[in-house]
Amino acid sequence: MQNKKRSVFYMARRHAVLALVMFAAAFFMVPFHALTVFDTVRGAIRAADADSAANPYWTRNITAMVSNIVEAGFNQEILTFGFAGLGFFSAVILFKHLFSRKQALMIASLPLRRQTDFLERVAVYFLTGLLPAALGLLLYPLIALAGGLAPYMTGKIAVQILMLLMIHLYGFTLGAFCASITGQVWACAAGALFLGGGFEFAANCWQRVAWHYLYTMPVEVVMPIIRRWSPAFSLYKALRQPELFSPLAGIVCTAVFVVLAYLAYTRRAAEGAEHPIAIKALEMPLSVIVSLFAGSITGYIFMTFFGKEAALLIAAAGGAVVGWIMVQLAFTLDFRQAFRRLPAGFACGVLLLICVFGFRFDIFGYERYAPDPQKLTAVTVQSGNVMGGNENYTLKQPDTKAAACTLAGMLRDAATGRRVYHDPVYPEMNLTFTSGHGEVRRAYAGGASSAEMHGMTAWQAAVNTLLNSDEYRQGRIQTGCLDEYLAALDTDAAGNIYIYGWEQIYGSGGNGWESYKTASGRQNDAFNYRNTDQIRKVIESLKAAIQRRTLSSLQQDPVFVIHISGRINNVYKDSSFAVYPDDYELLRALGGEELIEMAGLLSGGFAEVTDCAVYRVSFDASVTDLIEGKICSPQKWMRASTKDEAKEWIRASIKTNDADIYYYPAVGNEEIWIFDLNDQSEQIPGNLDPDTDLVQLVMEQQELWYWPAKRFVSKAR
Amino acid sequence: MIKAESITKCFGRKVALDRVSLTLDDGHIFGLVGTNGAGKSTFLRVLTGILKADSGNAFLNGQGVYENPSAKQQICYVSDEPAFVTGATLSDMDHFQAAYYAAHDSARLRELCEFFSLPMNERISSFSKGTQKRAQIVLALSRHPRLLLCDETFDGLDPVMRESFKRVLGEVMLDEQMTTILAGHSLQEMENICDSVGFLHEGKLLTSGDMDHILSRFCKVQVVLENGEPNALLNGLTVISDRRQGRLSILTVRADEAEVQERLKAASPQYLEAIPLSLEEVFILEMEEQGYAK
Repeated sequence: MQNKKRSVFYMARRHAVLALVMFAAAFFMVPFHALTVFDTVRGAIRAADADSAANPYWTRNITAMVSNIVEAGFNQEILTFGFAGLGFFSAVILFKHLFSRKQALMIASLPLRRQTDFLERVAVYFLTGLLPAALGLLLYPLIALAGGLAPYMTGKIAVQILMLLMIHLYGFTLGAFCASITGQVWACAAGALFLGGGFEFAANCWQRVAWHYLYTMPVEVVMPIIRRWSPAFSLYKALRQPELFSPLAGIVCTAVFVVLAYLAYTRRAAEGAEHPIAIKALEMPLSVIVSLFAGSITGYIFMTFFGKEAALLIAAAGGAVVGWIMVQLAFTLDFRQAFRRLPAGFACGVLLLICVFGFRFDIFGYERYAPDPQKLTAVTVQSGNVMGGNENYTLKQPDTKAAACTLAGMLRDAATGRRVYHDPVYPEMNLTFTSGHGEVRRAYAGGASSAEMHGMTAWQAAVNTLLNSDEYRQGRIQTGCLDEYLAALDTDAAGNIYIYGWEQIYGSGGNGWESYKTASGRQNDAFNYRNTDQIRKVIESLKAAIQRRTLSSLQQDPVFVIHISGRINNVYKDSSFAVYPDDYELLRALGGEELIEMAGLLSGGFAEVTDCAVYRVSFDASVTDLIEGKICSPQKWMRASTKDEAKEWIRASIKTNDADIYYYPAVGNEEIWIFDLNDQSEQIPGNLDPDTDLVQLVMEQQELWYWPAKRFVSKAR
Repeated sequence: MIKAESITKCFGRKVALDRVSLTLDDGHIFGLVGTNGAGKSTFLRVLTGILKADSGNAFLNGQGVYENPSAKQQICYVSDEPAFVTGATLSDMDHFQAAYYAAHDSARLRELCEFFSLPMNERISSFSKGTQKRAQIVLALSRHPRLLLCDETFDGLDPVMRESFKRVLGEVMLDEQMTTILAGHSLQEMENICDSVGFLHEGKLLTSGDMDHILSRFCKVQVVLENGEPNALLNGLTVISDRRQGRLSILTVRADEAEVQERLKAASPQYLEAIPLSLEEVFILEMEEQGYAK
């Protein structure tokens, strides 16, 4: 026993330099970097102390800065990669004898069981790798304490230090495992890169390939799984927000790596050193994995670059075969051996082709999925432009579930294989069907325009069923956490809840928020309400607006979006709501009469106060054709006879993302054309007769264009 | 006692050792002679417990060697490719061995270093190849091993150091009843100091036994007969070579010297003399019989 202890301490002494490097690296990345940040923080504290009317958010901001290592130290990516890299480096140093035949034989001759040797090296890692890093990190709270920042320190510092050490340990175990199955350092590093993120990367590539073929596949199928289950990603996320993300996958993976490293170390042959793969039995499975990986990556890259199916097929199959040859070359370091077992390489290529064709011909019936609403326990909807802007809600009643399934089915049937996101002309729906067998997610986007869908009776009926249901309205309130915010206001300070304005992501909304900011002289996006009552009033008005909105009011262009965020029961909540021109009470609560006036002006009121001509132009094509720029001619045009009518027309229209074109959704093949009659810089003649038919003029001259509404807004102000 | 029981070891498709068995008593010194790539180093590494045999086992005093720390404490392997802790001096190696070997004797190490003129505080990697061999030997002997395995140890030493090593080895063996296996190609040294010897070829132990026994497997005689052919007299024995210089026949025969002399004497030779064979000659003859070299 005494001898064992001596060997551990001997090894620890020999790796004193490693300990020094670990300490210095940890110190440099966090406490040293924090010195400059703390200096700024102290300056801010002095400024806040001097200003009696200082923003009440100061304390929280400073606490967030001091108590968050990711803010005070290097950024999250550098810290994650840095500490994982340090752990991996420790493993390479402590297991470096596995990369040299002479050293491996010398160590194998020592009077130690492999198990003991492995455990001793892990013990030395704790002494010379993890402990010095921990000591380096512990200087952070000491420096903060010495700098008088104790009031701003929370337990999050300790959790984040533990997370960094966990990442270090993860890197070490990954390195130990890779070193134990390889005999050359480059192979060890390649293995670590592959195990660290290769599967996630390949899964993402396949998600892209699948998404290319499967119209109803959500944009992100793999990422949520990766966020939840990827070991590296879980540690990365848990480092910044340990209160929200669990590092469990990373911890489990670390334990698995330790066990695998132990098994590999105790079973590998001493003569495996200097061979890329030390355990012969792993050659074949690794060849297959690397070959499939190479084919997946090259297929995805070629598909992305060339956008052609042929490129995907050729690159996937070719990449697999080339990958196979490369890996044989790497394993044997002999050109003559590069083509060994080549049929297996071809088999990998064929396997990838089968996968691609599986998606191409939907052999699993992914697209045909149509659940029976009665068998579903719930349908969770994330919709865009079905009723209004972006909405989230969950449905459990038979009629609402059936309505959601009807909408999804109609969108799927209208699918053209083209996806359009975040455009008010096109409805989009992401549905999560929950049944006793789990959850199934599907996405439907951009098949047909809203106008066309709204022209269908079944669609209208389903939309109205949803809109008029309590589930929908309560769901909007619930998913938006509005009641939680209100409850928090009863118990906590108003400072915990923030309200920001932002542009509406669907359509342009005429740059509503920017216009409002400019007009009201705001410098930033925060409303900066100083008391609970103001925030309560906004949230209650929002609740009332949600209850009151009709389909026609939701089909207007929103003025802007408000974000509400806050920390409730120590959990960060964030929700967004579009604000519509008809939400008078909400607009009043947010910005008073000035904002109501501004919203009215933005949403068509400019037609009342400026000298403009507004036309409804009908085409011989559908709105989808118009959006796609197909050649079509105006069939009929009608000029607004009064300013009030002009305002109403504009207000009832929506604007596409891609062009400054206003559509009149109730009809489906009409555009709204707006001409600024006083704009001398443009191509409209200055002495134009007010009664001139501008559409006719456009048709004749083929030069004139219509103008986006935002110009009028700025003029009006 | 060291015992190897039908040890087989393969590297990929290559059979490095093919059912090799050997038994040595304590205090014995054994010479393992073999052609290049015969499997000598592999055999020693299996005996040391560095490599795991695919089948068969190696035992030291009845204990299996592989993954057995107490057996390994008593075994020392002096590799043909000297390996030390990276960047270490002999002083560092002293600490290294002290950490791992219970029987390590620092005083003896210093004593041997002085005897072999080795600096304790210079990096071993800066030593010449021969000096590194010496360093390996002193480190090995300072551990008081029960079994010393030397792989081509003589090959890197100059004649003076060879003699010194032989002398020290002899003293240690006498004092400590250490068993030694010397593998290599310095057959003259082996013949001088080994009690027994074995020939390894293509993974197989062709023969092994006492030195005298091995040397007596062949005999070489010069004979002049008045009448008749010497070959005819040796009918039934394997005559490996028959050179003639006038009436003088120089015969190499796979047989006991006494039997050959007896048969030749029956023809009343004018001249008959047995010429002693060296280990090297016996080894070459053995290999020639195996078709290794002609």
